[in-house]
Amino acid sequence: MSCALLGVFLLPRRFALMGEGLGHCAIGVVGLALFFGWTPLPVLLPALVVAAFVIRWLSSRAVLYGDAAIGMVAVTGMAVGILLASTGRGFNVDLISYLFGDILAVSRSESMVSAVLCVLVVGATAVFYYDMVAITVDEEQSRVLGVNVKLVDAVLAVLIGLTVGVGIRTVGALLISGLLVFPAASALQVAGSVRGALFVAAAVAVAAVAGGIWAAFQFNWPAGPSIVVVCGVFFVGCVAFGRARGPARPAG
Amino acid sequence: MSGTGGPVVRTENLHVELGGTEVLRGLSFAMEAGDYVGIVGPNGSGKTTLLKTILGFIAPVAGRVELWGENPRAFRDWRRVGYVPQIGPTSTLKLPLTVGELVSLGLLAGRWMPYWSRGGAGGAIRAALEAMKVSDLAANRVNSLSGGQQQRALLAQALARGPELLLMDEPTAALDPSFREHFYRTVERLNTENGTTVIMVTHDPATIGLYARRLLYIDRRLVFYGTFEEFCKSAEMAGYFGEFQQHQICHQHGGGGRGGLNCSSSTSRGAPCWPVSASA
Repeated sequence: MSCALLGVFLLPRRFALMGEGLGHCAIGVVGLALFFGWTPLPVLLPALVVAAFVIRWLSSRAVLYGDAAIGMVAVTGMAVGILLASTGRGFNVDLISYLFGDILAVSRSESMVSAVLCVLVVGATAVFYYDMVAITVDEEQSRVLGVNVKLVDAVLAVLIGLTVGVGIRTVGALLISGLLVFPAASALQVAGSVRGALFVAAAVAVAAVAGGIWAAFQFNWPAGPSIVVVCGVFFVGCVAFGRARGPARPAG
Repeated sequence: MSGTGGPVVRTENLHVELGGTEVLRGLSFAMEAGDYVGIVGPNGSGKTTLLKTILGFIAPVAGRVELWGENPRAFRDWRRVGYVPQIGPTSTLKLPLTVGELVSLGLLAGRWMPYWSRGGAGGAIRAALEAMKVSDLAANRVNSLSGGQQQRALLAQALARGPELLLMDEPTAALDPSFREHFYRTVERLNTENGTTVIMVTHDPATIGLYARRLLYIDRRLVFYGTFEEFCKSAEMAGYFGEFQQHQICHQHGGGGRGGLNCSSSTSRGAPCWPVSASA
């Protein structure tokens, strides 16, 4: 999953909760879309990209820390969603499926969208790899290395917005940040290089999604939560492995 | 070498404030291509701030600062510049960045389609690692290194860029004495052979006097800017610093010692061998 790759660049910059914020925000957007009887996804994707920019903008004004900006955008979106849902026909069943995700409800066109998006994220990561690493290491210094910080940040924001928007269908708005945080955090525990961390994160995410879905079918669990639980297991495993292998270094 | 295309760095009546406090006042100077300038001054004199203003991190409240005649905040051609920041607490870096990856950023970040130029980059990266003697650390994580090793890795990153202008903020602070000497000689070679313009902030005026051609002494305002020879002969500076300190910078104190030694061994560099005319 593309979540994992982005997570590697977000975690060290203290934007770990970006997914959480955007996920909550998505509830508002979905509430809005359902209220007016629109199909949620076409509204959701651009709205989340905008929300990602708002979070970046708020935190870059140096008025707020990244996490405070995320918190504000998150609750605002959530509140709007709940308001709309309650003024509508009660708490909507559709909205619930966006909250917790419903992998069986993912349509053919939606899986196409996520496939395209995945290619996009991998492609953009490849093109902007060195720039993204430089910004993550030191934003100020990356500018004198010639990195167009604004452009790369914008690319990152667009990708996150899109990724969260698509991921919500699978694991749900409340759990999407699990996919953004866990694989990346696991990778940062064990990887010996940035390149390695990207590969480990992607592998953990794919394995967790596969494992989660398998568990869901096996035990008749909901898929979203099982994926996140499997992620958690992987993370604990990676921490243990990291500790056993070398001196402990805090990550994430 | 100098005189082609105007000064590399120029300031005019530069005023800089940080958080409402005046840090630099009325600084005017020009650094020409091929210059080797040591920026010296006491703690809190604004040396780092000056460097950051030249690089466009900080905008002046009044006056001008120019990088090849351009406002550094609008400057785009960063490929010509190498910058080595003061080493901070990089051990808190959360990314498992290796030394090799750090150095490759110097060459490959900020490039459109870095992969196309990678073939040539490999050699430059290896050479830079070699020059700063960190080749054997290339696969190690930056956050596991000592301060001195980190500093060498950052220096390698800047050298890999093959810059026309090299700005360094206390690059020798964490280096052990023998490596420091090697480092100074490497920078000197860049300056004399490649014509690289070098600007170095240092707390080590005694050593910089052996290598740099010019001295910029600031203490929030400009105290002195000129060649070392001028500095050492200046009665005004003797009055400002007291003769003892002036002589320390000029290697004229106590006869012999480091100054005399380096004077005899430095044939081509021509820096510290001025006639000892002081009366102390």
